[in-house]
Amino acid sequence: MTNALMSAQNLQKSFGLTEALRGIDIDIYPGEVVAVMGPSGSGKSTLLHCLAGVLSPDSGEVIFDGQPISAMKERDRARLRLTQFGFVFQFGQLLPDVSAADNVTMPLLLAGVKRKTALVMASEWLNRFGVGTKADKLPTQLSGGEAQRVAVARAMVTKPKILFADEPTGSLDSLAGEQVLTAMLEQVRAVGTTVVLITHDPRAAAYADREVIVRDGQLSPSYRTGAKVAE
Amino acid sequence: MNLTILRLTTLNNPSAWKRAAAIIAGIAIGTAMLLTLLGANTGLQARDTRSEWLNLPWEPRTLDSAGNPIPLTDQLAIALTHVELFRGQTITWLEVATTPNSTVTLPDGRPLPKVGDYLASPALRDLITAIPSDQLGARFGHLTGELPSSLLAGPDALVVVRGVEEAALRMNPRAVLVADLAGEPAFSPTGAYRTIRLVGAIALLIPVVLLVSIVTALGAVQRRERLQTLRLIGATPRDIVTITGLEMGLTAILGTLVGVGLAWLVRPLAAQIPVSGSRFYVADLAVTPSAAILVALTIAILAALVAAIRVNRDGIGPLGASRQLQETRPRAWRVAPGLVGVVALVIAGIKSPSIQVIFESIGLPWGILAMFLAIGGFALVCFGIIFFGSWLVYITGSRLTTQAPSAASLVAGSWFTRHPKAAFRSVSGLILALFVTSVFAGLASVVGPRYFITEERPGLLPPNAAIARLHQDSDQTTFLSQINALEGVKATVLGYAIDADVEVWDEDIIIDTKDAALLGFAEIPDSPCLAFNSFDYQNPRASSGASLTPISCEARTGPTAIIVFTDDTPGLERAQTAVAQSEAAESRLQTRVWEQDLETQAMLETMSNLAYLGVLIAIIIAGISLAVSAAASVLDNKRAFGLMRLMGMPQATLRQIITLQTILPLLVTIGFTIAIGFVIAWLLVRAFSNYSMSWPDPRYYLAIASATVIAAAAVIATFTTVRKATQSEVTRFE
Repeated sequence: MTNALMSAQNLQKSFGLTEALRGIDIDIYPGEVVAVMGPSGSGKSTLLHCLAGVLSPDSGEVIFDGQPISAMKERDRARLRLTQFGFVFQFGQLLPDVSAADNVTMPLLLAGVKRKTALVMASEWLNRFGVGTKADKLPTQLSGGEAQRVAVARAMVTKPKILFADEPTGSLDSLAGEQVLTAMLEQVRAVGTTVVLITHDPRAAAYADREVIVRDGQLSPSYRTGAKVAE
Repeated sequence: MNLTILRLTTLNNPSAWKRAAAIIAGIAIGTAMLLTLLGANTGLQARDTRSEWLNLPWEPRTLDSAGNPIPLTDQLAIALTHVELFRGQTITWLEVATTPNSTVTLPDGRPLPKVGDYLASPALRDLITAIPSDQLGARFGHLTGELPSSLLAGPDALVVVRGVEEAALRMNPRAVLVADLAGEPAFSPTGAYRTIRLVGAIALLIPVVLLVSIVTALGAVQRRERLQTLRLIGATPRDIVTITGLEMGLTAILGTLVGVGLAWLVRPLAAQIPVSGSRFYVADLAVTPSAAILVALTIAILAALVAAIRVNRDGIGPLGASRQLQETRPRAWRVAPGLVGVVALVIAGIKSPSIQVIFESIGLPWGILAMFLAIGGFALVCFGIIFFGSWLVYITGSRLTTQAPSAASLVAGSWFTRHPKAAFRSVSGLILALFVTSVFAGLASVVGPRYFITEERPGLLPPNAAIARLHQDSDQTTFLSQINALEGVKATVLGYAIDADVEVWDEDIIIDTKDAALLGFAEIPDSPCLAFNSFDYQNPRASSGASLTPISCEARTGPTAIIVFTDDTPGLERAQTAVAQSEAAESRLQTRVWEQDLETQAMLETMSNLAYLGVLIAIIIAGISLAVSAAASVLDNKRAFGLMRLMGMPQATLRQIITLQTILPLLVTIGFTIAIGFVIAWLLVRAFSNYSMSWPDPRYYLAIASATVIAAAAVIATFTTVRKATQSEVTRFE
């Protein structure tokens, strides 16, 4: 059986009196696409944020590539997110005053890549997502689908090991959503990136290798077990 | 509009309350500043008006056209004003002579003092009490009352009204006959403030307006989102404009009310600022209720209107703003107003008589035209800097975006390119304050050092000596022995008048040659008697002084001047008191420092203090604007910044972005602004004098340092906001 790229053990997280996560265990394997489903308020996003090191769990542990994330300092977790993880959100994630191409170069520049090289790489990824001609446009000049493709290109430009996508098609109509999702999955599969996809859309979840259900802060038995797990 | 809806849509969470509090605080500071400025203007006018009674008319003099004395009647008084220095303070004297049944009174109706009596201002009375009588009090006579505050410029004014013999006043050619002491508007030191006051008010007003403009834009993004939601649930565009106008109007009214209270509270503090040697009466700085209401309403209405217009312009619909919220690109023409201003100042400095004649031939008197060109040019350059600044920021932003070596410079550069006006607006108050400071420092560098020549030089009255004119037909022997007997008087020298039949160049005093060295002359001709020009000898601005000319001792008539050498200030004041009491002296003892010069110097010193105080206030206000603006920028971009943080952007990068966004507009314009400030000062100096500029006052460097510290503090203060606004926990809920 393949070793898990990321493992969470007995994750618990509360906000005041609300228990968002109540002891979740999950393993995520290299190259798989995991859909995390569940009703609103079930703890999906909290799980994603704990896995990505955005939030620290109250108890439990997240191990990535053999390293416990929860014990890391914020600076190290930020570095990890920058170099190993990619993020796509529902909306509002592009810097409004920066062109599409420059938005994509941002993680590269933060990682110390030269501007010229970063622009070449950004252009390549924008082309991959079919928005190469929109490179000079500002986010406000893009359609919702185009903006989301730029956001995915930005998440993928550093070739992350895991892409965390929180309702990436939630703000789009079904056609645009499907286009964004297929383009994203095509590219991540091409480079072997693992995806944790938060969604409550069964059609989106259908693209995943595996589905897990979060309900009341706990994992329900999955509907579908992916091939990687079977291995 | 239902107020409950308004409250629910505007003050619906703790941050909305905080935002409202910040807007109220900003408007309150702006209102308080405006009212204090207005109060200061009213106060200066009030004190000018109260002092007018001391400005006597030039005529009628005491002699008629045939040279005969005009008789004194009950309806007339003979009056003479002069100023006297006492240890650096100016005492204003009004000497009056009346008939026993005179009907002439002071402006408040009280009778004029009789011979030997005097009325004094409270500050002078206190001074007289504090100083030994032989050094001050004995000069005046018998104190019979106090001058009321309605006749004084301020609580520190030193004024005396003294009754003297008619004959004594008639001997002075400057004495005039008056039927009342209504006074007349005349040049006074404070009168000279009017133009400067206007320029200073503009310089202070702009940062205040900018502050109000910046605070009212606080939370603009959150407001837009809120309004967008309202549109989604059925609010009409008109509802949106009304909600926005009411929200800002009500907030602004609260702010102005707090501001009115604040202005009232700072009045006693503001009254302590001395202008022309005196502080203000607190009541002088009061603003009438109607003026306060007018200012408050104007600010509230303008704030409401601007907010409503902004929302209307953005065209907020159910899905957000329909028009792109990007500023129009500034163009190079923005340099034009400043250039026109510079050209106006260059023209104002034209010295060529032929060109001046051309203007005068078309009915434009050159002096007035030059003044208008100078003031207009200065105002144009002020506004020109604000216009030009945003273009400079845009150019910098474009360069930075193209060549950005880091994520921080890319984000900051893009912000400058998209929002050059907003970026410059946040620092424009500080920039303008520094510009005005530089102009003033340049001007002050001309005036300060060259006003007096205080050191000992050949041919000039020595610093420890004073000279008084004598009546030739008085008992000078007794007077001389009195003076010589005074404690602190080292020596006296008599100067003699020259016989009218003797032909001389411009000499007016003869001395014994043995006294020449003591009097400070270096090149002493070999002759028993010598003559010199007393004006050159006393002139505080003369660099070369008087020279001695040999003259026959036969040419001298009676003593005309006494030169008194003292070893300390009390000695000089004792001699001055003796001179004031004696009928032998025609004038007071005068040192090398002239009264009017000291007054001018005091005025310049006051203006300088006021200017630097104004600069300090402007810098502080501008610093607040900068901090508010930087914080607003963070809050407006908090979602994007928060997500970037979430994706791994280090906190340090965010701090770099904020620092660049705040400081870079300052850096790219500050050098230019300071340089143009000194150029404008040079043009003004060139237009109105033949002097050259030197290095500025140390207070100038202090002002620059204060601005730097305040800008740095504004940026550092924002770091906490950045950290809190972009925490992961906060971003999750965005």
